[in-house]
Amino acid sequence: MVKDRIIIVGGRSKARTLAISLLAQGHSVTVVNSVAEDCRMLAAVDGLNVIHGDGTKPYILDEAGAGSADIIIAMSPRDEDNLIACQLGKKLYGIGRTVAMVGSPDKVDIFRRLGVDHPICAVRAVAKLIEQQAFLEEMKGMVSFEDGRVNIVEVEMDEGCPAVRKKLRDIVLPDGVIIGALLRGSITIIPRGETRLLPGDRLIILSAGGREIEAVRILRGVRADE
Amino acid sequence: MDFFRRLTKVLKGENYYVIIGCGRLGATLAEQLEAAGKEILIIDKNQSAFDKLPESYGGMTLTGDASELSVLKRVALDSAEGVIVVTNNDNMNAMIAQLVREMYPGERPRIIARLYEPGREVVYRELGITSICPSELSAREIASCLGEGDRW
Repeated sequence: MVKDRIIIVGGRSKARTLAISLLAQGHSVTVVNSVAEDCRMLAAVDGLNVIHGDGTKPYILDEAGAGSADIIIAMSPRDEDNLIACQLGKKLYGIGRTVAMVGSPDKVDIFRRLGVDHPICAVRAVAKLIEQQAFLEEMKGMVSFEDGRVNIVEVEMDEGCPAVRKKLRDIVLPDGVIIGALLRGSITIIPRGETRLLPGDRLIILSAGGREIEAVRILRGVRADE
Repeated sequence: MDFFRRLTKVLKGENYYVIIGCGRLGATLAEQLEAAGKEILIIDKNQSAFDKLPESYGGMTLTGDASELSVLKRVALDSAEGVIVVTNNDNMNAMIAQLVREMYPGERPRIIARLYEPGREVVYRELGITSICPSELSAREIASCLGEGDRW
């Protein structure tokens, strides 16, 4: 695996948790923080480089090694600081991948257009996570791409599901949702309209546009306790 | 339609300016431009900031956080001649200026932002936003006071 040089700007305990996780994966990590006390706390992490200063100033980013960094992650609570840190990283230092936390959900798209490769809205992400947790029993596994624009979920069929023993063409799924594969025991089926769902089948569902929960409801039904 | 949007939509062209940030610079600009016959709308997130405006100020004020898109959408920025972004925070100014440009790509409105730190200008260089840097202006002015402007 290629190890990256990563700069994290702002963020106290979030930065610490992220840094520890990235260090454990073998990446080289530098955090930039403008609060001396936070820097002391961060400096206690083994192997972490800590720069005390304002990560939206070019000479501080210089010091943090922005010139040779692969990724910059801005996670201060202030949208404007995160935007500028990422933009400086990209435009001044040519950092390939920029990630910023965004406080208000309505700024996500505009940040992307302004050069933040991955704007992440914590409010939206947490809401999504809670929504998914509520359906965890229904969904065996889930993988998200592009901040939830495309999701892959795994759903198991049992005797009580409304979709079981039906042919796929008789099941109406929301737009943007397809059943990509079907795992039946040790065999894998790429399903067609004629394929009939059986108890024990595990469905791999591909969903664009966040409608996977709707699809799971259609396939498995709404439980009585909801 | 929102009251402010309706009101500011009526104001057209060369005469209508929006100032974001009612600090000393924002308030002074508002006063001078208004005295020169311009229509002014000044925005600040703290109502008390407008205390800096003189009694004679006859322009509009709007209390709101201009870093929120919902606030920027409330005023018809597209019919303004210029948007002047002068909060006391560089990154805030740089972000707001870019949000306005993203909302209204093209020539209008003209956008001017104050940056204390000229090194940050690089983030919006291609977007047609003009930066004003107080320390550079001061240096130039001092040089000309010293009568040595040519050497600078």
